[in-house]
Parts: sequence; C-alpha cells; structure tokens
Amino acid sequence: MHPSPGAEAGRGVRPYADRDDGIVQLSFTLPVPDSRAARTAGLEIAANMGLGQAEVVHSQPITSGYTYLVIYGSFDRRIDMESIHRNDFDIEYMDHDEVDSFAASRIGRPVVVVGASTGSDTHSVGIDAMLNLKGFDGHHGLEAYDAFSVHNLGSQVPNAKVVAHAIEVRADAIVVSQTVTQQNLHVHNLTELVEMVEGEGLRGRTLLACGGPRISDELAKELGFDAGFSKGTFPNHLATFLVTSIAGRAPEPSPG
Amino acid sequence: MNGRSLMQTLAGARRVAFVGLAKNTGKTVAVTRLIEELDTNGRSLGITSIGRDGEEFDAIRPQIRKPRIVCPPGTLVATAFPLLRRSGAAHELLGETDVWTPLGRIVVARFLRVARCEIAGPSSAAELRVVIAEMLALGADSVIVDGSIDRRAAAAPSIADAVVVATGAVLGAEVKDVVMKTVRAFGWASVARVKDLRIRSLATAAANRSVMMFAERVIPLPNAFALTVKPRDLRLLLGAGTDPVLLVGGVLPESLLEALLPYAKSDRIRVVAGDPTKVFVSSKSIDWYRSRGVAVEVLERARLGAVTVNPVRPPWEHLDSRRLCEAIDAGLKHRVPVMDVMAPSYLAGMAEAA
Repeated sequence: MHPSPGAEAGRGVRPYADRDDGIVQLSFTLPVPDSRAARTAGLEIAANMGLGQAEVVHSQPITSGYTYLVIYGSFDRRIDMESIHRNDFDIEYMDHDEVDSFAASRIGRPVVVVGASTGSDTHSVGIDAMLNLKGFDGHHGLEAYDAFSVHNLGSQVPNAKVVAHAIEVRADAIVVSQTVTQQNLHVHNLTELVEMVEGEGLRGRTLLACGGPRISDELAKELGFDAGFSKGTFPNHLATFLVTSIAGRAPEPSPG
Repeated sequence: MNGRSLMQTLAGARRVAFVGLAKNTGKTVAVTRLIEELDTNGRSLGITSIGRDGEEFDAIRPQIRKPRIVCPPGTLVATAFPLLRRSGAAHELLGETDVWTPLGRIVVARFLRVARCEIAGPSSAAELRVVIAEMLALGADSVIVDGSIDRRAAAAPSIADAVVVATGAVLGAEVKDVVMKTVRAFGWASVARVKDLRIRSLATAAANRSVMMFAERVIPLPNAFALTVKPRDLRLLLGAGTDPVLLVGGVLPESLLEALLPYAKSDRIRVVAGDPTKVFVSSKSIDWYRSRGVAVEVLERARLGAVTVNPVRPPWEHLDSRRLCEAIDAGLKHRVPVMDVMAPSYLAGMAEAA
C-alpha cells in the first residue's frame, strides 16, 4: 500500500491529481455548435457544479450542431471518510463450492430463483452475467450451482409476468436487473415489482434483489428490496446473499 | 391551507402511514413534523417503516443530506435489531417479534433518550400489521409507518387508519405539471368502493381467489389469472354469461384492463380488486377506462388523511408554496387537506396554537 497523502485522519479527502489539488476532469456533450459560446456554457456548468478555476482543455464538434468538451476544475471541499458509514451488506462471500455445500447442509433443496431484466430495459447483460451457466469474467452464473433452480425470463419482461412466473414455480427469490434506464424510470419500475409481490401476498416468503449500474444496496432497501447489487458484483456474491438469507430465515410455518 | 396542523387533521387515526410519490417529496420532513406535534402534545407514539428509511444521505443524490428521524424519549420503535444496536441509542428492549428481514429480527424497543436511528421495519404488509398492533398494545397512542418511496402497501386500509401522501415540486418544472402528476398518481387512492351486496358476499366467499361472476353463474378462475390472461381466454370467458363482474384476488395489472377494452363495447365490464393498493394503472386513468366501459372498483377504499407538499426541487429550484398547495387542492377536488408543513404560515399557525 502506498501512503495516502491527502487522507490523514481528520482532514478528509478530495480529488487528487497532484499534491492534494482537488482537480477533477469532466467530459460531456452540449447540443450546440462548437463555438466560444459552447465553451463558455461549459464553464458555467462547471461553476454550477461547484468547481473552481474551471478551464476548457479540449473542445471539438462531434456531429453537426454538437460539441464535445473536456473541462478541468477543482473541487475545494473535503469529504470526511469517518462520516461514511459502511453498507449493511457487508458479508463475507462464499465461493461457488462453499455456496453449494452450505445450501446442501442448511437448506436441503434447490433454491428457486426467477430472474429478469424488467420493464422497458432491453439489456439482458446484467441478469445473464448473474444467472447464465457461462456467467462472466470466469465466474459461473447461478445456473451452474447445485444450490439453485434458475428461471431466467430474459429482457423487457413486464413486472406482472415476473410475478406470475414466481407464483407458478413457487420462487424463493426474484432477482431483477435494470441496466440502462432514463429519468429514474428504474425507480418506478422496481417499486412496482415490490408492490405487485406484496399485492399477491408473496412478500413474506419471497426474497427480492435487484442490480444494475445505478442501483446501490441503500437504494434497493429504500425501495423495499432486500438487497441491491451494483458494479463489481459477481454471481457468488448474489449466491451468498440468497442462501444465507434463506437459511437464516425463521422456519416457515407448516401449511394448515 | 385550513389552518389546522397535521396532527389535528389526522386526529382519531391511530395508525398513520406516510407514502411519498417520488424521492425528495418531503416525506421524512412530514413524518418528523407529525412526531414533533404529537410529542409536544404529550402523546406517546410508536414508529416503524416498511422497507427502510432514515439514511443520512439520499440514495440517488448523495449530496442531499436527509433529515434523520429524531425520536423523543419514550418513543416505541419496531426495527431490525442490528440497526438499533449499531445506532448506539439508549433503549429498553421490550420484545422480539417473529418477523425477520435480511437485516435481522424485528424487535420492539423504547428509546430512553432522544434518539436518531435508522429504522428498518418489516418487508411485508401482513408483518407490518402485526408489528403495529404490538406497539399499540404496548401503550402507543398512535403508530407512524414511514413508507418507502412510492410504496403503497403501507396505505392498505387493513393497515392504515390514515394515509399521508407526500408530493412536491420534484415531480415537475411548473405548478401545472406537479398538479397533473399528483392527480394522476392519486388514481389508486380514488377508486370507488363496490356497494353491491351480491358482489361483496361473493368476494368474502372467494377469499382472495379470482372469480368471474355473471348474472347466471359464477366461474372460478386459475391462480394468477389477472397477471397472465390472454385475449383469447377472455373472449371465451366473457361469452359465458351476461353482466360480467371480474373479481380479482390479488394484483390487478393495467394489462388486464387493456385486454378487456375490446369486449367492453357492447357490455359494461366491472373489475373488482380488494383495495386500491392492488390496482396498478399508470398509463391511463381509472376514469378513462370507466368511460370506455371497463369500471374498476374496490372492496375497501384507502383512507386518505392529508397531502403534504414540498415546493423545493433539488438542488436549488422552488415553486411558490401557497400557489402549489392551492392548485393541488383544486386538482384533487378538495377531497383531502393539502399543506406545506415547512411554510412560514403553517409554522406561525402552530406557534400561535401552542
């Protein structure tokens, strides 16, 4: 480990380019022709974001009527590392084999998982990475585990269909992904799923997890999910969460 | 604004649920205001949540510092035990419940001093009902449920005696946009209650299963019928009798109403759900479907207590509080008190009353 010159106790941190200077780089596109006006507008944006000493270091037309800008500026405040509390989802992850043997001894039957990329999202990459046999980056998805029985419904699946399928296969868990969304549409879409599961009276016995680049564990819990997974998640993380949560739940009352 | 405080508006409701129509509509501020008013008036209260809330930072915009819920001494709380322990708040543990969440077991405790604590209550409405009853039995005069964003489950009439809906400038750039979106988002709360006794007694007998009722006969429907129905099945089904009433056991999705539209031309079709939290209609309004022959009704209505309005849109814009409140009040046809609990006029009224 290198020493962290900007982060000694009590001082807090800020962006570091050279000697604790707070320099950040922004890049974005404006829907106006490349011009002095476009560069000035870019500086205004940086100022409104609270960046000091902003300068345009690069601008170029990218197509007719659009300008791409790169701006440097300095962020003068500090973030107190002490104030950042850790996620609750701070568990030790098991690997593939550990998950399977844990599930075999503590659950004793396959955990039924229904997964989908829901709503208008056409991207199935997130859910496929978690569920498909192939997985990604050398990590097999849940289909490769003995611990799970997986139903991957694909992309653009309406919430109603996810819930109907969960009822049909008596799912223990529903896992949905939202890869690309606009205008916080993912928030509404995710809440709707929670509400539908609740409306069918399944919430008490169904784990709900969601994932995507704009989803944090905090947000997921605020929306009523049991956990949220963001960038850097591997299938064994999700698998660990599912089997430990199901094993840790109070015993289900026997029907009748 | 009618000059009454939030507490006075909700008088008589022992179980109050807060629902926000979006993030940053000021739900937590409204919860905090009601807690203060109840405490000032010497009322003992309990608090819990569905999902989770009370985080210091907003989960979508971390630069927004959220007001943490401050609980006066004596407040009862139902939350996952690990959060309570971690908060360091001085408390007396009153009991463990049988309700579990991935965060841990839900316990009921009494705060011994002023506490700031993240509260994570049960995940399901049924569990929420149990936990609320427990706090009332332990002596709370009223129990507040902090609902998560857009979570309607807490607003079910079986859970809440009064629902407070938080809306605000975050929904739109201008007053008229906010009013339109607020009114639309209220569709679920304004569904009519079915009065026909034949339908009501059939619903009781059906016990959360879906059935099709005609003048001539009653046809039981398969599990999850409303979620999976195909237009072809509907044609066969609707041909089996006259004066159709579709009783939906669980969730009523908009796709069902859309599928029914072509068959509603000659004959009005009534669709009955248990309560408004089961009705999922967002692209068109309930009135729109009714005018085209598909009439949605519920067995029990939600009990709306108040609408709170946050005129601020993060990070820096805001609309005129009074104009916005009046416009929303008019848009909701004066059915429910509308107030901005941070407006100087509201606070002045409270100071006068105290």
